[in-house]
Formats: sequence, structure tokens, C-alpha cells
Amino acid sequence: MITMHPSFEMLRPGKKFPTVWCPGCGHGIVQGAIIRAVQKLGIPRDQMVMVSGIGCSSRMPVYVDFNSLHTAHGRAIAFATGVKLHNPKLHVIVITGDGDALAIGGNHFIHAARRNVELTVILLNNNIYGMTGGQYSPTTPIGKRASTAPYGTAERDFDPCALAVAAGAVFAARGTVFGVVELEKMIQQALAKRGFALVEALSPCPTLYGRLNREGNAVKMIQWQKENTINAKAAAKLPPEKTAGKIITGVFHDAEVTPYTEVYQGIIDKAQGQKQ
Amino acid sequence: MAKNTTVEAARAEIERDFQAGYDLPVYVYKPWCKSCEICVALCPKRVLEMGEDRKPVVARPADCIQCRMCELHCPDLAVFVTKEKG
Repeated sequence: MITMHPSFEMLRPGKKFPTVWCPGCGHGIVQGAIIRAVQKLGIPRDQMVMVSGIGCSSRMPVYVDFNSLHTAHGRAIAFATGVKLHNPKLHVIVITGDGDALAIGGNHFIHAARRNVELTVILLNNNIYGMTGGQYSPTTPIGKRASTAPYGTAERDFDPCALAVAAGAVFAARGTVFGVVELEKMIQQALAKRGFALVEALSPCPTLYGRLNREGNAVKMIQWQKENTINAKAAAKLPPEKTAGKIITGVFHDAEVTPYTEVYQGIIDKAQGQKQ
Repeated sequence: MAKNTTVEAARAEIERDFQAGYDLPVYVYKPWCKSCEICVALCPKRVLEMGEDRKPVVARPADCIQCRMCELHCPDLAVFVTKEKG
């Protein structure tokens, strides 16, 4: 028995493929993981809304056959909050990049986490502004080169997961495209979560970040992820010198807090004079 | 170069190949392949190899263990495993 690609049914009909992303870009791998996570949870496509801002990653809603919203730079979370409040039954996924979520949309990001709006935010972190030509972003590690930092950036980088947890998110996890199976499980957990859930997906940019920092082609960058990331559970058992300089992956935070739409419904009921 | 086609066209083309008796464990839909070589590099059994047209070819079909590493890591949904495990 020979079978067709299991993800084809979730692709947008009539849209021309392949995607706009460069050869070896990790964003397509994350897209595959999202498709499989939605398929495994059995969420109907009509109940999925994919909202994105601007950037390489934000091209994704064009290719996946969900309800979609491609919005202004950095404002994806703001639009998504509106969608979720209007119809809390919808599953709202926000696709955003490191620059989109943490620089231009930094305030939307922390305040949505503070309010605990039920959004699944997938932050595709490629450490650079890819679409506009390789400027350094809030997650470019200190000392790494970008087109606007030819001698290396002098700024420290954000840890998006720690930022989200500090702001009040109920779920924060970091995965890699090398560990796409774990990433898919994290996305499944995040989708099932009632509250602001962040999944940071480390996605290599071989065309700009890789070339400017001489990190090699897509294959080398994916293998770098294998060698330089360590799971939080494994890292906890190792002495600190063995985990120094490595990126920790895994689920960092998983809490239960009353979601915003539920609190807000309480306000609506009160205002309309109904007893809770 | 990758060639632009819709998912409907891709599905029809692949199904035609299946009906013509395609029997390899991995299928490479070449119009969507961007020659990034990730599938070739991540296959634990070296089933795939880069062909002369810079697209992967199924060089050692008998060695495939259906681990789906190629399928899961292909950014362009161009490679997939055609047979179930077991």
C-alpha cells in the first residue's frame, strides 16, 4: 500500500508552491510540525485561525489552509487578541518572528502574556531580520554579525521564553527544527493549553545569518543545533561546565491560570446584571 | 530550479506515478525541491543521494526503515515516505 504525503490535505488549494522561503530555511520545517500537531489534535480547519505579522516567518498563513490574517508589522498578537475575544471558540495561532514579536511588537507580546489571552504563539527565531536584508534583531547573540553589525553586534540578546514567563505566560517552551518531533509535541501541548502559550522554534537562516557568520549551509546549521542544544531535563542532571554555552530546549513553564476570555465573560455577565 | 505548481497539480502528478507502478519507499516531488540536501544529510541509512540534477534520488531503497526523518525535515514537503512502518 503506497500513500500520499499526509500533510498535503492541509495546504491551501490554488496556491503555488514551493514556498517563498530560501533553500534550507527552517521555517518550512516548523510549518510541517504545526500541520501535524493540528492533525493529531483533530482540530477542524474551520476552527483554526492563523494570524501573522510581517517577516519571513509571517508568510506561513498563505500556505496553510486555515482561516488566516496577515497583519501589520509587530501587530499580529494585537489582531489575534481581537479574534479570540470576538469568538473564544476559535483556536488562534500567532506566527511571528524574533523581530516581529520582540522588537516591533514587544509591547503586544508582553501585555498579551500578562492578560493571559488564549493564544498559541509560535515564535520562529532565526536570530536575524531575514526579509529586509539581514539586520540584527533582538535575538542576535552578542558578537554575531549582521548586515547592520559588520563587526558583530554589541547588544545582548533576549531570551523570549524567560521574557514570556516573567510577563505571565502559562506555557513556554523552546524547540529546534533539528528536534522537529519534540517541537511538534510542544506545539500540541501549547494548542491544548488554555492561556498564553509560547513555543520558540529555533529556525536556521542559511542565506543571511549563516552566510554572514560563516556558519555554513543549511545542513551544517541543522547539525550545529544538534550539537549545541541540550534538553532542560538532561541539563539539570549535568554539571554546569558541561552545559556552558549550550542552548537549553524543552518546556520551561506550564501553569494553570484562569484565561482572559473567561474573566472577561464574567465582566460581561456582571455588566448585563446576570449572576455568575 | 524549483517549479511553481499547486498542491492539486502535485497530488495529480504523484498519483499518476503511483498508478504507473511507483514502488520505492521514498517519493521525491522534484518541482518543489530546492536542493537544500537536508533529507540526504539526515537519513540515518543513507537511502537518499544527490542526483546530477541536484535533487535527491532514492539510491538504496532496500535500506529504508521508514523513520520519516527526510519527510519531517523537508522544509518544502517535497520528500515523503510512501510506506507505513512494519
